Amino acid sequence: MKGRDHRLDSALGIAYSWISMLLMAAVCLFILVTVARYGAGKLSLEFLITEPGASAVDIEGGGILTPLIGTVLLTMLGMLAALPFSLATAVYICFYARPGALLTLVETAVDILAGVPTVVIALFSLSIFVLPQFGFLSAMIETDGDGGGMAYGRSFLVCAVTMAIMILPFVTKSIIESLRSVPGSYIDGAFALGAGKWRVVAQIALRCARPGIVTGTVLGMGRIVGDTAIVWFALGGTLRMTGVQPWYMPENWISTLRNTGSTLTTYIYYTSPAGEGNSFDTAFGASLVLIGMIILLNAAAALVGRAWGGGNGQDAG
Amino acid sequence: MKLRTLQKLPALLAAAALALTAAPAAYAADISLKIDGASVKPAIAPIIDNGTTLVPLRFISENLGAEVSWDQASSKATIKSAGYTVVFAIGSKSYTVNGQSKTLLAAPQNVGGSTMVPIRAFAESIGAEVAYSSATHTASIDYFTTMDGTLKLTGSTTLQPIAQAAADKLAAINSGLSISVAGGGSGTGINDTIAGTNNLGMSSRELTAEESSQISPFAVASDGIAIITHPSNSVKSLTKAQAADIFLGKIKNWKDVGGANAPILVQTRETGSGTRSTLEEMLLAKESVVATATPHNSSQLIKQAVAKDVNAIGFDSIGFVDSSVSAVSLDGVAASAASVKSGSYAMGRSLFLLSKSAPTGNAAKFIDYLRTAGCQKDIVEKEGYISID
Amino acid sequence: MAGASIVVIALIFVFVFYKAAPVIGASGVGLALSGGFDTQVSKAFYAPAGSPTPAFGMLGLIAGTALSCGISTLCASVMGIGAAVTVCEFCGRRGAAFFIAVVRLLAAIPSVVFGLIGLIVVVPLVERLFITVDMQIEYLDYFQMTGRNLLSSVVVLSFMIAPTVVSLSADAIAAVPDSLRETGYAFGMGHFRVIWKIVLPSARPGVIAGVLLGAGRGTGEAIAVSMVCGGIGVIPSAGFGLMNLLAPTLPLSAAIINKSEAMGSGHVAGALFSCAALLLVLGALFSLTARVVSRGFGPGGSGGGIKA
Repeated sequence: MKGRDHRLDSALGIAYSWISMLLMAAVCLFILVTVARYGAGKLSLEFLITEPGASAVDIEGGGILTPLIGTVLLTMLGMLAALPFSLATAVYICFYARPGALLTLVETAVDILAGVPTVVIALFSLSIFVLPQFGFLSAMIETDGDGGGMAYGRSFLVCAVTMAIMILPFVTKSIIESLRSVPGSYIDGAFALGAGKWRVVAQIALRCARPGIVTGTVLGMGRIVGDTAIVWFALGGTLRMTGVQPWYMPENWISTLRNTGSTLTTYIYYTSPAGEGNSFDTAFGASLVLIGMIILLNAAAALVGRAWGGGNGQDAG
Repeated sequence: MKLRTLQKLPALLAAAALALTAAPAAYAADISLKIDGASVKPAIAPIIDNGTTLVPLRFISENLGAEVSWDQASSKATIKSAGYTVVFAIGSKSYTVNGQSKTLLAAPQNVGGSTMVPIRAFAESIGAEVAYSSATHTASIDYFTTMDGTLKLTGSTTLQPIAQAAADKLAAINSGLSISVAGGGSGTGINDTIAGTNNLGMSSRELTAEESSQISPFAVASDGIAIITHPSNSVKSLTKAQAADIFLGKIKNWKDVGGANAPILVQTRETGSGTRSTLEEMLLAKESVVATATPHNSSQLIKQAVAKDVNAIGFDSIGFVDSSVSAVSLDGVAASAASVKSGSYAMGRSLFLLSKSAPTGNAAKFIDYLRTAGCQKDIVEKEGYISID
Repeated sequence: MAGASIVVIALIFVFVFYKAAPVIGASGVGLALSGGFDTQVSKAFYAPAGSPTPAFGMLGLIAGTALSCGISTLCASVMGIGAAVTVCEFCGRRGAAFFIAVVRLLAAIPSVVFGLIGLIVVVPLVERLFITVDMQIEYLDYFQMTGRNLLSSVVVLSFMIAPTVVSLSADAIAAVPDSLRETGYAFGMGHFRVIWKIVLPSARPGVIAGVLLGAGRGTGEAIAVSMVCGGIGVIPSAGFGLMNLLAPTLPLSAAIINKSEAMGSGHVAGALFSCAALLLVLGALFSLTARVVSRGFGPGGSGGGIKA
């Protein structure tokens, strides 16, 4: 009697586990198929290298050149801004900090920052980067009359800094984890050979943790690529690049960075029925490109991780 | 347009009189005219009088985005652009720019019903550059091609695509010009303008008395707000009072306005939308749309919500109304461009650019550019709005 | 440089609360205990500049956050723990690698794509399956029943939260030593019984941390929810019973996106910063609790898990 019950329990339990996993896999597949089915028709070289139409009426005809570049640009800049701080924080926590109030404070700050919703970070950026002290990141407002003197507060640079704030804790945590998984024997061995602390950190620990650092970097980049709320508030939500034209000329790059633009995510929001553009297949076309980018990014990270291999670190789970 | 033809009548008579009494000015039929690099051909060719080239005032003004009004009694033409007010008098060599008196080399005159003014004096008085090539007999006015620096616009998402299209065109003909057009809604546009965090604001609602004491509006397009229902809804017309009661939540069933026994599902735009503000101001006496109404973030979304539900009612710019929804008539007046222009439709509105101080430089030119005949036709009307004139 | 996080988090608290202070001050406890946010935003938006800060009531928004996030965290936990068990225990090395890839992909799909799919697939489906004209008439005085409602938000959110739960749970389950499992088998327990009675309890801190971080993600998710939630902060009522699920909702985070058009008004901006302040506190609570819980589990448990 009891034995049968156990078998039934077991069958139900296994069924429940599999149904859960398969349901998630099915939803994932469904999303990919839906995006591909509606978006594939849009996909062409022309779609990738044409600027978006100026407005809702001719959005159909336009492509995703500037949103695509916006996404790449923000990802690079955001990561560049975050990585040094993340590395420093992780190295400090793992090697330099003594247990005590300061370490707890740093760790707690990282944890709290990780829990701040992106939409809150977006509002924060809107409140701080309009201060004239941050005018160099966007542009000062030129007005003849009074009331000027504030910064515009929305630009690629502002958005990149905001993105860096968003990913800082995730990249930091991921690097900490990979540093902690470096076998202690390596580090002790290095110390035994008389290497200075900084040498050990730089040459042994950071080198061994490279795959994990790459994974962490990609994790952060993925978050930037996928974020909408911060872009919506901090980049201004204009479809085009709005710096000095033509924006792609090197002498205008700084102006481009200090002005507004869009990314694939805000472009999707704009072209979805929720935005003014309302071009169903354009939204799905851009979604397809976006998801393709994310898959490529992850695949590249996996390859780099494998090439530097060593087996220590991120895939242990 | 109708108005314009009527205005021309006295000018025509005056011209006929002039032709009988005065010696005709020297004609130079082969003078060609370029505005911003493009050859243009006015119906009346430029003439040369006393060594000065005279061009048709209204034609030039339209191309520079200025508005001309004609006062018959004093035979004075007043030209208003965003930054300048210029007054010419037929037959008089003195004219005023922003109230300051100046003197012309040749007096304005009437030719074939058109007021002709000296090209250099006029163009330079509103800030354009003029060049004359005697080799090719070409007079060139450069106004919208001489812009550089930056311009920031924020505000109404209704106006955003219009402004962006204009910004694109201007950026294409001006290297070194950077125009940024960001949304945020009319409220943002107005407040940014008051606070000075933009160069021009965009608003799709009228300013309140307090707001207009601080900033000035410049109409660049008109629009009407249509009340939309599902095409198969049998209710095709409402009185203003009925429409107001529906949006205030006092009438809840279609049978109360002559339709089927079905709930009225009110759709609205989010707070901050200029379209919603206008509806609340013009139809609901500044009261809020019923709190249970489903709010939508865009004019597309509200239209789709109405298009897929036979019991829904919403509102949208006339320009957005297509076959997926039907616009009900208000007090018997159909929602159309014509009824908005004539003023007979209850919910017409203007779309404004806003400036804190009197606009100069890029801001003035941007406003003027949107007001040119070309932009009104190629941008405003193409985007589904109603041109101003 | 290691202090950057401290500086940034301090600045975030200072700026958000500074901007929210007038509204919090004017509203007092009513901010959390009364409703009417939608109407108040409309009124504040039209209020002349210079008028005193009005009081706002965010009960509907708080309830919306609690319900949408609570129910979807529940669904995501049930689903996520099952999926984690499958990955770790039932499908072999290759299967696990495949399913982990699937979970990572699901975690990496941007929220705006979830929102897009939600708007185009989930919303019409919910409307067709659950809502009739008679129900619409019956509830018209309280709210409009459309496909954009609490249920749609829960469906979309569940699948956004689940990957976080799977990741951390799978890490924790994999870290349970085999010796514990073998003890179970030695007592004659079946495979699932071992999992249920021994593995999951041992992995509990990691699983709970996953659920808390998932809940944190659910609370802060803005774009996707704003596209499917219906946009009105209806206060749930016991009298509506299950119909509460079909009422529109407006969680705090979605409110910031939806009402951002009205931010030109300083009072509305203050109200939205108050939403942000609440979210900030909630988010901090979730991640700190997750940290405390997983600390009990060991040094490896506090990280981002396999969610690379």
